Amino acid sequence: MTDAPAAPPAVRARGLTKRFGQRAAVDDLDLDVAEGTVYGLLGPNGAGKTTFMRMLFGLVGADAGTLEVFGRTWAHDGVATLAPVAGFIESPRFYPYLTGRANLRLLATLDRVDRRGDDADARIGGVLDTVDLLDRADEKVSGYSYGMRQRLGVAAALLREPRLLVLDEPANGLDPAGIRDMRALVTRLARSGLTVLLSSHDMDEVEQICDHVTIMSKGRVAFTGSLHRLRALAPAPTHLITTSDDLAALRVLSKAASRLDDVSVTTTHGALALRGPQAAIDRCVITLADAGVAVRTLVPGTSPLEAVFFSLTEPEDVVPTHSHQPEPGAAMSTRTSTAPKAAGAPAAAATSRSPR
Amino acid sequence: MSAPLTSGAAQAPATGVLARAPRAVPTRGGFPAALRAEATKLTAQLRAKLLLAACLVVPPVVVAGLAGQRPPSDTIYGRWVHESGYADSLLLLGFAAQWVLPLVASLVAGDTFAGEEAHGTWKTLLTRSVSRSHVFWAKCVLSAVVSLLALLLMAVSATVAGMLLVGTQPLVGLSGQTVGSTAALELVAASWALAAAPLLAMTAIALLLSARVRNPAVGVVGPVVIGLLMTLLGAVGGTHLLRRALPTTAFESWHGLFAAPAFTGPVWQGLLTCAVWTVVCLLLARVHLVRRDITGG
Amino acid sequence: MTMITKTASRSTAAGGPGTGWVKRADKATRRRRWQGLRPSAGAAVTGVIVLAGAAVLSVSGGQDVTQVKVQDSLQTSFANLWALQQTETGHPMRPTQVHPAATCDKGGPDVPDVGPGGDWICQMTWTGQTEPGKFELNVHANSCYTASGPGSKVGSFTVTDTDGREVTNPVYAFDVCMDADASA
Ligand SMILES: Nc1ncnc2c1ncn2[C@@H]1O[C@H](COP(=O)(O)OP(=O)(O)O)[C@@H](O)[C@H]1O
Ligand SMILES: [Mg+2]
Repeated sequence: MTDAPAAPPAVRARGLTKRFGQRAAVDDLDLDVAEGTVYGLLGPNGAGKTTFMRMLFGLVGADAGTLEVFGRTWAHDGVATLAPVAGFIESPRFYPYLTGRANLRLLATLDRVDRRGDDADARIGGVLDTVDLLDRADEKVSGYSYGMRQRLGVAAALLREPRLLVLDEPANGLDPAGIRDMRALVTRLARSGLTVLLSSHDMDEVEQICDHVTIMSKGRVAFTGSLHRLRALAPAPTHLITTSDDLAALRVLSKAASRLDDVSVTTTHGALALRGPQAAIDRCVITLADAGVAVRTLVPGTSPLEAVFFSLTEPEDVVPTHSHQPEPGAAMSTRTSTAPKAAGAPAAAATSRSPR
Repeated sequence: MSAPLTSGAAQAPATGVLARAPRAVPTRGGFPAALRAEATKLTAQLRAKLLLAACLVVPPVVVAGLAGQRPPSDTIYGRWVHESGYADSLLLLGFAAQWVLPLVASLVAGDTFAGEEAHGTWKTLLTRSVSRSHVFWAKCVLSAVVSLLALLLMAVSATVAGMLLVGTQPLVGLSGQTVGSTAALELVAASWALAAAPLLAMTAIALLLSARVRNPAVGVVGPVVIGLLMTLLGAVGGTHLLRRALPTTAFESWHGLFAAPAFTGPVWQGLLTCAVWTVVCLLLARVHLVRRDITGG
Repeated sequence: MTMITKTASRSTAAGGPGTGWVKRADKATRRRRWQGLRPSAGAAVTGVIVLAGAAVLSVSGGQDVTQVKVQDSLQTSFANLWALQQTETGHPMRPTQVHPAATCDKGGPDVPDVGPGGDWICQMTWTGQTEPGKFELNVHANSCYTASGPGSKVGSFTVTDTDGREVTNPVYAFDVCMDADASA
């Protein structure tokens, strides 16, 4: 280390590379997770998030590059690298023939909780209570639901009293209530000073929980920085409208283009996509009503951050900035130029989101 | 799963586990910890208990069954099972060496690594504070202990059953000489003890297979098949040194003890061969486990 | 640091400490190179080496089973067992009084008299038996054999002992183990 700071970052990766056969799952990755942050690792499936976390846990060896955890490396410190780290990769797995409590006791044995002068059983009770599994703790894990296993995974991680909590898509496979509770728990843990490294394919989740984010795509870093900076890159929000006569609406809006110069209009499957600030959208709706075209639905489309995410991780798109936005008059193509996937499924994807 | 994760504790964020300052996990004592964890898993499963129970119960049943039958003449000491209880014990030893002892060796060992694969628990086990090497040796030691315990139970059970159900008459040796009752008991005990070496070698083979193939069924059945093939190969004439290089050959090294004069060449050869097999298999398995990527689960 | 170029962007702050996993990675790369493109190549090479070793082992080393060993062991064992049988049936006798003399042959005149097989025939005389009795030997690869005596000379499967009990006839059929490592 050249100018070694007093406290090394929780995680520091330099040129980290892992290949499976010819394909690089993680490709020349640089990453710094400062202590005390809630760090989001965002990327579509196959981006390499899990592989990176496996390398962090020493489950997978790197082909090149270095990875330090609180200044320790696997090559130099071995399993001691893991001492301040806990978490789980993908869905946590346990021994199905043991009860939840017995599984935790087994892991406490491996962690040598007793030798740290702690009462293992009391600590196990404590973490089980934290994840609200106390009343089911003495049932075999084979009878646990997916969500219960996920919570047991969090309990198993907390048992280690980590400084860094690594969670690989913790909300995956949970129902909405489970997702809400998981996020609440992570937020609460983060408030207690824990550094959290969390992977997700869901921009929404990262936006709710994290303060720093690295967006990965095909094993590489596509963006890294604070959420604040990511927002600055975001395009204006999109709204999808359906009208009594879409063709007429398109005509009306293009005729009024001079007054609506900060809105772009594109047609998508059975709807019009309007992109622009909220006030401009309002003006569009009024204009349409004045022209005798009724607006039947108005739903928020792809969120701005999500649009950035897609544009960063999907190869066919160009990086969106405001200057790259198509001119309103030129936007009358039959396809949107941004985020076709998300806009293509507006009913499923967009309606559950709140506009921002 | 709609039970809130945070109920009860949500109002007080700094309770319980979260209030404490993080502490360093001890780096020493990894092996004993791994050993205790493996023992916990083993005792929670039926597999090892069934094996040990069978080793205790089956021999007396077989000895009792032999009592009412024309003696089997195709296995050494089969002809004498009505004349001396020691012959019953030796017949069982010779018979067990064919495939029972390989199965004893593989039942726990063949599952120990592959089972983690099947349950997807490698990542659970290896993200705690024990090194892969510690986990590896803990699993090896425990598998060996189970194998040896099973052998001990089987030996005691078979010998005691023979002595109680048939008797402690003198035994006819493998040079036709008469072996007195006390000497026979000592030699029978030594014979069973010698089976420990090939049993450990077969255990090591099962461990290697379990680590490499990552399938519990293959880990358990594989060594039995390998043991049978090796026995078969050793039974083919004209294989000279190859025969001596097989671990299964050592299952028969006790024959020399019952000859007059006794010869112990096969005993030492067997011990050496089995030691080499054991060490090589364990090292290969260890190298594989320490290097491999854990991507499943 | 904020990076937004999509593909080849990464910070120039590479390198870091020289430790990391670089050493291990180098080894892995070398291993792959050695194994070539196909992952099965290493296993194939190992298999060939093992097979070649097995082939060499299987043809080297001396013969475990020889005519002399078979004859000697048969005489010794028979003397012991015949004395046992005679004593059991009320004609006490010591092994040294049996004086067995065996001539063994494997598979007739055209087959070398070495090695295991079910075709070993031994002609043996002993005290009181001047006409040779024919013993058929099934010699196993482990240098043990099962000898079946001529029923007319050694009696049937069981004999009656002095107490009138039917007991196993020790010489009707018996197992003998030879020292494979002994010379001769
Ligand atoms: N064991 C493996 N063998 C081969 N390829 C793998 C393996 N594990 C992951 N990959 C590949 O590596 C890439 C990254 O996977 P992963 O790290 O799981 O991504 P993510 O967690 O972001 O969805 C994917 O293309 C995946 O197919
Ligand atoms: Mg993943």
